[in-house]
Amino acid sequence: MTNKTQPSIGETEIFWETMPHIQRATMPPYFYTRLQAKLAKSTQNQNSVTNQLWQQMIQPKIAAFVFAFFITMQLLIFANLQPTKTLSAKTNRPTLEAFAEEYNFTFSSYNYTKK
Amino acid sequence: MSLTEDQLISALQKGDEHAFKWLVDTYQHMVYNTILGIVQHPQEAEDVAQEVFVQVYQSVAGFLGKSKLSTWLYRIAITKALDWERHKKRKKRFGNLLFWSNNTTDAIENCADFEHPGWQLNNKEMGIALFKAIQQLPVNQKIAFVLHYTEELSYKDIAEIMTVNIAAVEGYLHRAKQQLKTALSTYQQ
Repeated sequence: MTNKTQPSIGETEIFWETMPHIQRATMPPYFYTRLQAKLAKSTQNQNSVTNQLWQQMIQPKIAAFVFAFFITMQLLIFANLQPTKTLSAKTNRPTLEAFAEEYNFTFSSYNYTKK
Repeated sequence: MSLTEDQLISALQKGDEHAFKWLVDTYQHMVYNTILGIVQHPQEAEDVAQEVFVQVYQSVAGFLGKSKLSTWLYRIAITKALDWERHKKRKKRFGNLLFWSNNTTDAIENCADFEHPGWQLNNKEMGIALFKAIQQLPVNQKIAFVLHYTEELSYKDIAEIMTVNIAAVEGYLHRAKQQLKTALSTYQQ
């Protein structure tokens, strides 16, 4: 009687006997040449942090994010620059007078030019 | 060029290019074979092997010589291969969500059956099934299995690489064999 989850005697056992005969895989030729290129590239990349940042920046996802952020900021700035009601408009008085009143300044009626 | 291990390490730490070339020539097949057993993709295994030697070049100055050089290389190779696998799985998992990515196709395309170049049996399908089953093993069992059966390392060497005791290695290999037997018998039915 054999259990379905247990291995069947036969091919699997033969297979296990042959298991130790897996030969080692060998590296494809000219590995050292390719490695030297990678090492040079790695050293170059390490030397230029700005280059790395630039590489990040030109990725489509990041470029799109930066662009969207720039547009949003522009819109916010534009919205804040809309003409607001000035003090003079509110009070319907000359600007200087309204300003003086706001800060509790008093206008002197003395004419300094007069002798 | 024939160097003792201490001389080689000393030369590497001084940045000797010839010593580094000697190291690569001597250990490249060992590193590649180990990574291939885990990554199961020849081109990717070569890329990871390159990363291993780049790390060796950059960090050999900090190598204290507490373990053998080969043990240190095995550890770096295994760590890099597992990192690569994790990275690949993550990419695969989120590949569909990232609609605006350059490399989404890379993550998905790597599903082809892997045939180990050292597989000598006529029954190639069995070999493919075996390596598929190896991929499903827990990490420790997979490492122990690959080191023992493709690198033919002793339990003692595996224990040193994995920083566990020999009994633990025996346990990993026993459980791995049981699991693979079950997987392969299911395949046969």
